[in-house]
Amino acid sequence: MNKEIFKKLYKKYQPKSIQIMLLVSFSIAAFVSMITLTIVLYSNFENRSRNVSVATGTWMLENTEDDLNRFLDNMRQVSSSLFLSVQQQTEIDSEKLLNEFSLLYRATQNDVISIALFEANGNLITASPYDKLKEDSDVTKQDWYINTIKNPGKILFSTPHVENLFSYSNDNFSWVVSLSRTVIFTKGGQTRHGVLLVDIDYASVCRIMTGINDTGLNQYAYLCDSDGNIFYHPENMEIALRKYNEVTAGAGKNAAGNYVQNIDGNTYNITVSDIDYTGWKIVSVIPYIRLAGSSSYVRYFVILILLMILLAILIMNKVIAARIARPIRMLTTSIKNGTVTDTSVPRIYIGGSSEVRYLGNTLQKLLDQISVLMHSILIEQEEKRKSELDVLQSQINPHFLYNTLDSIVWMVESGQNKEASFMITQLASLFRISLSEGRTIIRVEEEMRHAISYSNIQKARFKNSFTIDYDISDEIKDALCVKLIVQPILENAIYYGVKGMEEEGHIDVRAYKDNDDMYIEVEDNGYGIPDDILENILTETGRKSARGSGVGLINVDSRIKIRFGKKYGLIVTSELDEGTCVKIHLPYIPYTEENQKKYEKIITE
Amino acid sequence: MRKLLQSEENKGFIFLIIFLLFAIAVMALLLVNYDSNGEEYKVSVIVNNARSSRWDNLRAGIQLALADKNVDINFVTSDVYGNINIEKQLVEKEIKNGADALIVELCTSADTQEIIRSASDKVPIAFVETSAEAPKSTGKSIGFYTADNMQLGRDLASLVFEQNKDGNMTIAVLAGNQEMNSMIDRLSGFDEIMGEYGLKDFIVYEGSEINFEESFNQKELIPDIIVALDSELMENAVTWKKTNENNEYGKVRIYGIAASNANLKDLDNGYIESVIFVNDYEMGYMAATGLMEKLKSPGSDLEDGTSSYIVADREGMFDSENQMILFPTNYLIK
Repeated sequence: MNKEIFKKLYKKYQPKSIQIMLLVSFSIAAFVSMITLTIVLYSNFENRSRNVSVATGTWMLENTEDDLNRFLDNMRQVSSSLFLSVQQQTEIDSEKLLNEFSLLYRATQNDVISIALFEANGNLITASPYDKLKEDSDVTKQDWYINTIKNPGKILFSTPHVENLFSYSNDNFSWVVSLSRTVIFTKGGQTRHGVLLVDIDYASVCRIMTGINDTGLNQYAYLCDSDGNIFYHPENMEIALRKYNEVTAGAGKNAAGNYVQNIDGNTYNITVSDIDYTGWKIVSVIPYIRLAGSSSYVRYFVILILLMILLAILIMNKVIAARIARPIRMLTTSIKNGTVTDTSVPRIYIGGSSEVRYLGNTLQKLLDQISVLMHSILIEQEEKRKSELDVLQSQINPHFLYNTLDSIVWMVESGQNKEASFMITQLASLFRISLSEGRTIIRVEEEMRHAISYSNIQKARFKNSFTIDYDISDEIKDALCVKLIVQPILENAIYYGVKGMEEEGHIDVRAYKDNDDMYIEVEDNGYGIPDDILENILTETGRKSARGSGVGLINVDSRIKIRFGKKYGLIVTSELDEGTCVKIHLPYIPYTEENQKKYEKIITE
Repeated sequence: MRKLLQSEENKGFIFLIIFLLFAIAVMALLLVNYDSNGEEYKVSVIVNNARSSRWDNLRAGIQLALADKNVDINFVTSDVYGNINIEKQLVEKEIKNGADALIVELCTSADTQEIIRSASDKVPIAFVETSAEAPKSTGKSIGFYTADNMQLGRDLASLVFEQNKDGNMTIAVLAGNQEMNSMIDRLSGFDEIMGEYGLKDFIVYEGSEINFEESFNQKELIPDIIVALDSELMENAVTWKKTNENNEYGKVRIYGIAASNANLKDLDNGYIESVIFVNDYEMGYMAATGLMEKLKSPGSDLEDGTSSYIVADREGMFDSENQMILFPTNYLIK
């Protein structure tokens, strides 16, 4: 079924010319090559682009990681420095500590919001730059404090939070990362535990992270705690507003390393790194879809280039195909436009490649031969008709001559010398025109004289049992006419029309011009011709069923057509008991020597 | 051309060429418009007293939404105090100065059809803080971005009642500009719930500014509770409370609807008992995002948006879930 449909479709859409075949073939070949090349190059470009992006991203991540570790290490050193200051004092001295805290704060104030030392019960020993806690402030309830107490001896980094310990003079609230550790000091001669706090400005952490997120590369990085909870993200607020969802959020739970994950149909290159001592993780994400090779922009660009090349290929192929196919098209056109006749042969296009030239030459020879053959056939046909006419005339003449001479003898014997003399004169005229010096084309006047002579002889023979009128227009008397075309028709009108009629038979012979044509009509009021005979009277079928000189009609018709073309010839109309009219249709051609010679030779198709 | 088209083969070829040219044009258009930040937009934000810290979060939300979008943001202070005609002139001036879109806080919600119609015919407008009368035909070019003010009023009433169940209390409600639908709705919601609690006898002070001395000290009216329905009124109430720290007026408990850092500071310092904090950050973000989408796709509709709010008191304001809304971090990150 499918095969049939395919066949039908192929038949319907198969290329109909060699040019289209060439165009389609060239275009398909070029397009397939181009697509293959593009896919290979694009794939290569995509891989290279991805590798470069991943390498650059990894390098950026390592730099950021180093920056962050360096920064946090500095903060740890600040904390350690404070720790040593506290430890070195045999008895805690708030004033002295405040000086040291203030000094260190001033040195680090770009990155530090506050420094403070608390007793284990939450009482503030000293702090810088603020020395007073907010009213009702309870440090022991703060998460970072609780964690520090739970982990004595460890340096802990909290996740970012809003600092809410001290009273500020302005309306600002600071986001901080609390760096805290337990500390042992002596107060009032007793060893006591406390907590040392360095509130790091979270903006400093953000600045370091902004470095990797603002590179313009298709990479972003976020920070999360060891449980994978994100606390820094370039789209932090969008996440808070639920306008953005980090699809790789779970990646922070993974151990440090590089992962390629497919999430919701998109592939991500995820690199997880641990930040020293903090329990934080930095997660770098490179969505492949954003990479140069994978982006829609590059795809649009590649498709655009492909389309433009395809357009150029099509136009070029069209030109090339037209150039290659041109000689064949011209050859075909020259064959289509020309018609081979016995007298003319179309000139076949001979050009282009040697193969096409050979084809053209061969065709031309063939057509020339066909024309020669056609001409020979026509000449043979004419010769055949001539011989037929000659046979017919040779059949008629002795019989006609015998009857005429018999009539003349009878006239002489009965003393009708005058009538006998007229008969002999008419007979002589008849034979003179019949001979016509061997011409086939004579004047209408001569042809009509021949007809009149014939009719006069027949009228005498049949004792004027019929009448005959001639109405010959003067303007056609000097026109060309095929010899002996009226006499056979008259003979038919006499023998098969009016002969033996009870009433008086009558024949009208009219000859006249109509525009560029002329007509000779022979109309009798005789018996008429039955329809079945009339129908085929001028055909080969009619020839077989024709009686006697009925053969003459067909001969006359053929001879006219051979000379003047198929447009001309006989038109026979008849009605039973009413009569028959035979109309001879001829072109009006003035009789000149030149025309006579021309039509004497011409034999049309 | 006609001669060319007479041949079936040529017809097919010409149609193929036309198709390819069309496809090339489409791809070129896609490339030109791809992630196009080429077009620069100007967005004007017209709010009353634009310099006030009350707008910090709204401004931050707008800036976040328009970051990296090649938008020039122009903050314009209206200070028209209920005069819609002056505000209309201001809007027209901004449009004349080349604003592609506007974010406007209307000073009144009544008789606003004309200003909305005339402006929205020219540029898309996002109205923040309050809804207003708008002609129906402008539906696609305007959007209202507010909190659910009626519910906000109800929640505030419940908050006040829950924390002050004992004894008869004198409640003064600073109702603000009652020509604004937002303030009308807040008062209605507050009134509705207080009525349910049988506390209908609160005193309502209308207007954007209150003379506390005249209203309370000189009349020797000592309210137990002041409820401010707007951020600036609450700041004023706290200022007045601070000046009366050493007398009976200093004991007044203040509640209200907050939006500024000053309100939060006052809450943190104990001058305010509890607040309902409207997420202006989200409001600004939604308004700006909506406008950008409208500017990029002029055929799209500008949809209304409702911003969220949270209840915060002194203890809970630093909870991790509240921190991001009360203290947005985008100025640190962006």
